[in-house]
Amino acid sequence: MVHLLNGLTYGALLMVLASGLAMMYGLRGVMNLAHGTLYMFGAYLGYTVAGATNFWVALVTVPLLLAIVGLVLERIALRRLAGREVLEVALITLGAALMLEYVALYIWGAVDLSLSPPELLSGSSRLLGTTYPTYRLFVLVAGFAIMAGLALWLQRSRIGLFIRAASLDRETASMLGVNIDRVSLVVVGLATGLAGAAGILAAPYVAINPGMWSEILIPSLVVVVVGGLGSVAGAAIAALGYGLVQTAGATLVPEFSLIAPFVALIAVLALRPTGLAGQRVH
Amino acid sequence: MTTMPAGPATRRGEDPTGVGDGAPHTRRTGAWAVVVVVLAGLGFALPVVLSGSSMRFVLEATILGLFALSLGFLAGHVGLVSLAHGVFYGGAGYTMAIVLSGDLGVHVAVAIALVVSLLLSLVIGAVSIRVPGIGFAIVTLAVGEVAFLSVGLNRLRPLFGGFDGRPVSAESFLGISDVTGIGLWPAVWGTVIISVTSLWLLRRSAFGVLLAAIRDNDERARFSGFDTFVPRLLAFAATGVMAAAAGVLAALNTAYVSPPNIFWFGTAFALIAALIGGAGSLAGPFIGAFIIQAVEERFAIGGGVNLYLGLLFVVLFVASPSGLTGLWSRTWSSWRARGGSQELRGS
Repeated sequence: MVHLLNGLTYGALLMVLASGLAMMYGLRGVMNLAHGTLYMFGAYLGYTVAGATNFWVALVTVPLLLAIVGLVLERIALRRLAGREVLEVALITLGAALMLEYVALYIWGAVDLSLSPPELLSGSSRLLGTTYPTYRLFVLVAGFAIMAGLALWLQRSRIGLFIRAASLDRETASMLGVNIDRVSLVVVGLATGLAGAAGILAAPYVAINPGMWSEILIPSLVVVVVGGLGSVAGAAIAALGYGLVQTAGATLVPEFSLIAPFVALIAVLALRPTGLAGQRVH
Repeated sequence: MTTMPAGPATRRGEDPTGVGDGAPHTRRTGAWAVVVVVLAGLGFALPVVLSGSSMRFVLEATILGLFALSLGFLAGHVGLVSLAHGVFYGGAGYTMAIVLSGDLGVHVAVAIALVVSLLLSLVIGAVSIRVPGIGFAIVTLAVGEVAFLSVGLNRLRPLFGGFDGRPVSAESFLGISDVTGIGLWPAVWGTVIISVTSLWLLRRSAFGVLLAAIRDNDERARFSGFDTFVPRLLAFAATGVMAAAAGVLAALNTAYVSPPNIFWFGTAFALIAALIGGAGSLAGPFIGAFIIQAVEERFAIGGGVNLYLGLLFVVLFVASPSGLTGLWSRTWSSWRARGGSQELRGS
């Protein structure tokens, strides 16, 4: 039971990160290898802001700060790189991630930092016969709430419709009058804001250090590919699957709990190379 | 005609003047071949000229360059960006360590290491090449992560030594007793010659043209009746063996192998080396590797390797996707074009 909750909590975080990645890829064709870095900065900024004020202020301001970073990034960098190949842009974001790792190291140091959860959410709760840290339950609920909100927005709003259209076929969507540049400003801001949200949500339950970006980056990228490149729903399902396989691994063969999800994801891709939501290969 | 003066003389003759005439072309290629052969031969004598520490630098940078060459060829000529080549690079080292702990000897160990890497790359390639586009790079990243975590497992400690890694204790290799020192250079340089020559031949072959065609438009290649899977798989495996050769040399030289040899960071650094130098060219990855090695040594104390490497890479790659060699050949050809037109006006 505890394993299941752990898996779901991690899955919820991955969902939030991966949905942003998937949207950015769908709309801009950018596979952002610096997404983990934005998450890391979310956690670090959360640590600093929460230290100066309190956790709740950080929870609101950090995603906003990261969203602004995204808007700036889109305007000064991504839009200019729009003509470049997907792989080239991805490698450029990897270079940026390397640089930013050092920036975090320079500001916050190499030591593990930790942020304690707010008083309201500290301690543990009884749930279905087990006791579980309240804060993790909060992360779980918050992750699902964010995803529900995102799904509703994508399904119901006009811009959500544009995003879905553009992620299916960018060219046709822009021919039909969707302003890709304007939509992508929203999407990139939202995606980086979500990365910030994942970062601040994770801050009280992981060790905050300059290596945390690469730890989360690989699972979230793989989840996006398994979900079917650019599909938010596919990425969300794959993220949950990742958490659940990790749970199963942790209960059955604890030592393989880190490896099992990757093996499962690679197996899915071996059977279905374009991912869950992707088209069949001819 | 003696070989020594022939090279420089024709090279000078080739400068801005001899653009595109038919007859001197064959003479020029012949002269180029002579230059290349002479340089290849002279390369073996490098330790005579260079001091111990700079030779050490050259040796390490060249091994990194070999690793980068495998990734650069795959990226530039086949269009596949792999982050799994660390599995072959590190896997070869691990195979060496395991075989050498028996009493089969170093040459058998090297052979087994290369064969194991070939098999690994065929399996990994078969799974990942079917995933289209950037998905391929990410699947290889996942494969690398699985390998990295696996060798670190406590349960497999007797085999891989956990996160402490394993010693690779070879007393000699190809008659070289100083394998952990600069004495390994002839083996390294020999591997460079073999690798570069085979890639050069591969690039010019019909198979190389097919690979380029698949890279440029795999749908059209399929439409023209070519199988696009097997050629890419073979190219993936060939570069996998090349990465393994680099891994063998690195393991011999450091007498040690550990999970970071497999980790995707190492692969990403080699890839960045290839891209800085120019992924499509044969010399580029070595140029990039020397730059990376220099940056690493300069900033090893005091930190900031990632910052400067990242910065260098981003600036250069945004400016020139074909790296330094691409930048060079573009400048060169535009300079030559200007020179040529002046000559036309003159005559």
